[in-house]
Amino acid sequence: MMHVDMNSFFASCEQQENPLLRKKPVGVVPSIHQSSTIVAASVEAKKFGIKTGTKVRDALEMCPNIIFKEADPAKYRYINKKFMEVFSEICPNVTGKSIDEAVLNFSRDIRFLQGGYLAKDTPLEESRVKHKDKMSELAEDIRKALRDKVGDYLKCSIGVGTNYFLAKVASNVNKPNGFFYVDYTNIETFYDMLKLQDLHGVASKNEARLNKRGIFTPLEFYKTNLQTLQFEFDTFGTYWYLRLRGHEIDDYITKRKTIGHSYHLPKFTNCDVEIKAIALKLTEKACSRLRKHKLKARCFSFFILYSDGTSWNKSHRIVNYLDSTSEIYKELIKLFNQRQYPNKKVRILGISTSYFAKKDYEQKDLFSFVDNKNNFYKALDTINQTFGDFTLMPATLLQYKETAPDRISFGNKE
Amino acid sequence: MPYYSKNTITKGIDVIVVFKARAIKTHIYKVKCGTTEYLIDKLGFNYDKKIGDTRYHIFGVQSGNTFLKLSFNTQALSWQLLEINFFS
Repeated sequence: MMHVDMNSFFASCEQQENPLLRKKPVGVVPSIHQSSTIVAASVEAKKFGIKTGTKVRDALEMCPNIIFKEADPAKYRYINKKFMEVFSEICPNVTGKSIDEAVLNFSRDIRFLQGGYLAKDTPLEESRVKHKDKMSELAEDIRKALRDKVGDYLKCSIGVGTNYFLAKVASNVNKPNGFFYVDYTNIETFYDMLKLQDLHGVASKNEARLNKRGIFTPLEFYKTNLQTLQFEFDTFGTYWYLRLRGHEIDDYITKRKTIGHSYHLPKFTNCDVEIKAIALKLTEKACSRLRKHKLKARCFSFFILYSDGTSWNKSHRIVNYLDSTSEIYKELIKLFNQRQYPNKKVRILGISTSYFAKKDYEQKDLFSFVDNKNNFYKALDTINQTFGDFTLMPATLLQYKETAPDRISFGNKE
Repeated sequence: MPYYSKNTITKGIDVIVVFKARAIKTHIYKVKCGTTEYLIDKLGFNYDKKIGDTRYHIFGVQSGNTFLKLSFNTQALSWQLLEINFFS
């Protein structure tokens, strides 16, 4: 497995487009205002301690000369498409893990199987060295192809391991523009270089659980027996035991479970009209995605983060599956009206839909005017696809046309 | 000044472009915005995006200490200046 992680992806894309930003500290933000959060910092900005999640005002204190650039999702999606094309030319089995990461699976590659570097009659040490050299060569090919076909300023870190987990962790070792190869000969040295939270899937809570069992380093985690891990993590203990030893257990595709949107308000507000209008826009975005994927949902959630840091969320499930903006919005507003602290100012609001059913298998309603509604939304989606998003929209949104624009998350390429 | 002054605009411009038979990328030679002319030194990156059915080609170019972001509308065959920034 080879894991390719684009370094400071969004910031590098901006530096690629604008040569005058190169070798300068750059922070990419969803929108330029003091309370905004940096979604990607350039390599130069990282030297000042600025990283993903740093607030704009904190970044300005750390590096007064930092240049902020508003995110441009269309550009990142284009570059993602381009580098996926480059990877597909090198490996037939490529999985995009997020907007800036991909896994190249060489496990069934003819170059490495019987007759290749891992032929039965080749001594183990010899085939290991050959495999490592070949992987290093492929990593160089990837870098060269990225330089030539995508952009000369885009850098990537590459990790190679026997499973997704090891390859991913290895790609984080030599950043930026590094290469790291893990196999049975250096696995203990590899774990010895890391901290527990460097392991993908171990955050503060899991670290505390491990600490409780007397495990403080990845090497201790690796040497822990199966029974102890099963006692602490149940089935996940077995998964960890296998994962840490290089067995593949993460080779599956996760199913879409929710579709939703959230928005960080540039100016905190407790104005009901404004909040409802933004919620309507988020609902329209989520519903058009639902309809695009031919899905209907019957569980709806509303989430609010107040300006004082407290939060509120509520969800409810109904009997019928819905995909129309007006109906889903009505359900969400029912939730919104039950919120705590209506006078507190809202910083972030989010809506989400879940419990999906495929539209094709829906139960037909004998008495309602479902077909009329379906035809209406079909026409609305066609017009918006032809002339651009929000060409046709509810009149309430006219004055909020510029709020909640197109955003991109790391995990999602839509 | 720490903030990046985005200077987002949408302004019609005159552009001289060279399409070479063997070159992979389009070479933008000169941009005229109002009375100011910019000789283009370097193409940073170009990509395309669709707004509805219309495809736009976006070019990030450098002219001395100035960065210009240009958009070419493939349906109207027209050029627009989207962004201009001056760096010291």
